[in-house]
Amino acid sequence: MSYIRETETALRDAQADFLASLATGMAANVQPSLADQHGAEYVFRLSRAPLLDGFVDDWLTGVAPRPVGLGEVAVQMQLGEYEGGLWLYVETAPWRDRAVTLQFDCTAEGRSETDERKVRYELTPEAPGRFTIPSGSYHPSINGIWSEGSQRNRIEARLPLQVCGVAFAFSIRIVEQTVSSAVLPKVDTAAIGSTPAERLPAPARLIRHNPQIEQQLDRALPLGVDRFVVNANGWRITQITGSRPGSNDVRADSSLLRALYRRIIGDSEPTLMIDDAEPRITEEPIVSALSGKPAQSRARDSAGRITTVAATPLKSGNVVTGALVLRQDTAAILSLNNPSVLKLTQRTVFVTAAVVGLLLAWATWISWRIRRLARAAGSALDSQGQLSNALPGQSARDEIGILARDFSTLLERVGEQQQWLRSLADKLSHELRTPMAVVQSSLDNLREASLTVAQLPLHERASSGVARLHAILNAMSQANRAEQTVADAEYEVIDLTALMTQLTMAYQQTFTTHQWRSDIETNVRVYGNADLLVQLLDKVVDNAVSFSPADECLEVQLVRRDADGDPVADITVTNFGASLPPGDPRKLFQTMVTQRSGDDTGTPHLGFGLYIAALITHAHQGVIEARDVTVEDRPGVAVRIRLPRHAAT
Amino acid sequence: MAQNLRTITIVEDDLALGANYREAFEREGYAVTLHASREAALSAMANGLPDLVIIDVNLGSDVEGGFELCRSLRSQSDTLPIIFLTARDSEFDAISGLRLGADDYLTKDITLPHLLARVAALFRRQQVLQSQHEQTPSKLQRGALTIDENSFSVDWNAQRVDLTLTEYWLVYALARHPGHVKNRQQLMDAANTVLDDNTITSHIKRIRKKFVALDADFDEIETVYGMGYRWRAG
Repeated sequence: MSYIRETETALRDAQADFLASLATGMAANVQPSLADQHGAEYVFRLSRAPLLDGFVDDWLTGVAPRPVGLGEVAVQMQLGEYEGGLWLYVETAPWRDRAVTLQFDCTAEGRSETDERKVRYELTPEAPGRFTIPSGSYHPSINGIWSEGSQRNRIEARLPLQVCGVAFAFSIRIVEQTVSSAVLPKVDTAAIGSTPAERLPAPARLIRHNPQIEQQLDRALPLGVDRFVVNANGWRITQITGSRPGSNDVRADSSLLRALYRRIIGDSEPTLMIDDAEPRITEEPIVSALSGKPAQSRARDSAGRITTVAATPLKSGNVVTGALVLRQDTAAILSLNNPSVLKLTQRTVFVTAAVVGLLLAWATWISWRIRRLARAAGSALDSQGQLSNALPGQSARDEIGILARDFSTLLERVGEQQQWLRSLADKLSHELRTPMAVVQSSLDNLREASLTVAQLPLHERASSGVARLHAILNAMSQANRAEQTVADAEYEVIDLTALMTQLTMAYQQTFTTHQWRSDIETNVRVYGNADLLVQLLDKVVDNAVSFSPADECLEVQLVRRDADGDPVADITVTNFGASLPPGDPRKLFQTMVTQRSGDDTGTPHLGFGLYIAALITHAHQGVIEARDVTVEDRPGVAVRIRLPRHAAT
Repeated sequence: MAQNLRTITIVEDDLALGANYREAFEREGYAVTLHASREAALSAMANGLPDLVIIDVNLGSDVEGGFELCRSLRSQSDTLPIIFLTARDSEFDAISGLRLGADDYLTKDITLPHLLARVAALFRRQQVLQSQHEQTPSKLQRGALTIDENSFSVDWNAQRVDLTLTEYWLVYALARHPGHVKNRQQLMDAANTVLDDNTITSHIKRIRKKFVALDADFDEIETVYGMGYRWRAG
């Protein structure tokens, strides 16, 4: 890129230098006339004869009429020349119902400056419309039109250039009409360039296109070099537009691409703009040239082209009489026009885009893998602390693969740890069983021996303590055994309705201290193990009963549902009169978590009941959850077990 | 029973527990020999087998020593009653032990009176089997099921169902009153053992399998969810 940029800069500098030296060379042969220096009113060079219709649109100058004049009436004016005619366009506020006198003061070229001939035309038109001012016998007449509008009055007129070519003044005098028809001339309003002749002498001198300079400039120049000459005040007195063959084609097809390339090579567009339509140029480098120093710069032209502009002062002795300006479109030298550079740039852009795209895709791929790994690692251990599934991407050879393997090892160790912790209770109960048996058998033997009356109660107490210890040991190993049982269980299609109905009846007979309500839908089948499901319900109901005060209501429900389109069976066991302890309700289903504050029954509670329930539910691909409910203003806890329904139901 | 002076060998690595068992059995009139390891037991029994052997599965560092011992004893005698007494309570161990030909598999939770009753029952069965022809059989007939209360044996369609003592008690308890639901506690009491719900379930499962092995259509033991089991009436 920098290569292209440097080439571009070098070429551009060369172009500027070339233009500057060309300008300097040409400047010697160009000399604006004295007349060019004193002008005050610019005469546009028209490309064709306008229609005398009261409208300035067809002048095609590209510039709106300029406000001029003094006095109370706002006046806009523009002058143009075309083949011997001086065209005048004037726009004023309306002078409705007032008589005016239009006055044209013309100065024609004479043999010397003192010998200029002055001619005055006057007309007091009676109504809007065309007018002709005949002059003296040897002066050509003026043709014009006065059109009246609601906002503006317009006058468009053609004057003979041979009479008015040097200086010109135009004035409108409003004639007050009195009741007596006496007409008193009164100078009332603005005049152009000067007030009427009686008051102010010289009409404004005209700045006209200088055909002599045009001839001097008209020599063979490189293609596309625009030349123009401005006078000392910056007024454009000559303009030759260089031919631009071919270059337009290049611009047209790839201006968007070019803009892109310009951006890529860091080529800023110039802010300077030289408007071709403006008669006076007040921008660099012309200002610099008019102060005596040659200068170059880049500027946009009115067509939007980026050009190199070189200006060099024109001097008469030590006096700057104007400036010669050469301008060339940079597109001509833009290295992007060079097909090989263009191709190189295109390829560079393409390769860069491809590389960026590849990098982006690669980065996306890596981040996707990391995210996948993170997700898998996050969910690798289920709520029971078991390693649910292997981490993805372990076979990869890169760092992410290593990470995945390390993660996997770590998780395996955590899983082993969890396994060990879970089996700890079982191991512990197993280890304690033999010493317990020693105590138990010793007590049994002791009972057979002769005990005194005083020793008997002590023996009783020791025996009941041992019995409780036994119960605790059984509960401790129960969880692990349940896991084994769950793992070994055989599954079949089970009529859950029948199972639940029988169970509910059994519960009603067993827990007579509570009221039972049941709502069991018919014909619900699941794929599972009946013994396990019974155990599951036993645990949940047991839990519900123990948390529900006597005489409270217990509710057992079985409903068919559709969860996200999958058929499920929802078993809900609700007990009233208690609510969940604060904290995560999911913790209730973890082993060794019990919400019981005290042990009043003598039965050990190690939180295995709901843990086993969760274990069995998971083995059936189900979900178990507990939540607080309020039915008829009574607080309660609902445990819901959601099992996948067998497809046939 | 004291006059029988039956001999019992206890193989138990925990000497205190072994001593307690010995004391209890001796009180009942049995002659008891106590060994702490498989080797000691084997060398002692090489001279002659006792009437009954009680083996701990886990013999010190010899983790599976009890099973090994059972295997070698069973190779010496088909009829020697063997009881496993263990701190292990997993179903897998129970199945292993029973497959090796043990007559019963008891956990150490069992109380001494229970243990004594089991041993006595086993001796009774032993005695009945040995003098079967002399006895007037006391039989219980339930359709295709025949239970010999003297020999503790069960036949289905005149084919012997090879049940352990625990299993026998369970079948007996169920079949005595067909149609009556026996809950787990009742079944435990009937089997003279302390078992948890899971073990009852697996015992029932194993009993069903043994019957189904003889008769694929066997469906007499019915599960009543939440209640227990019953022998199908009629």
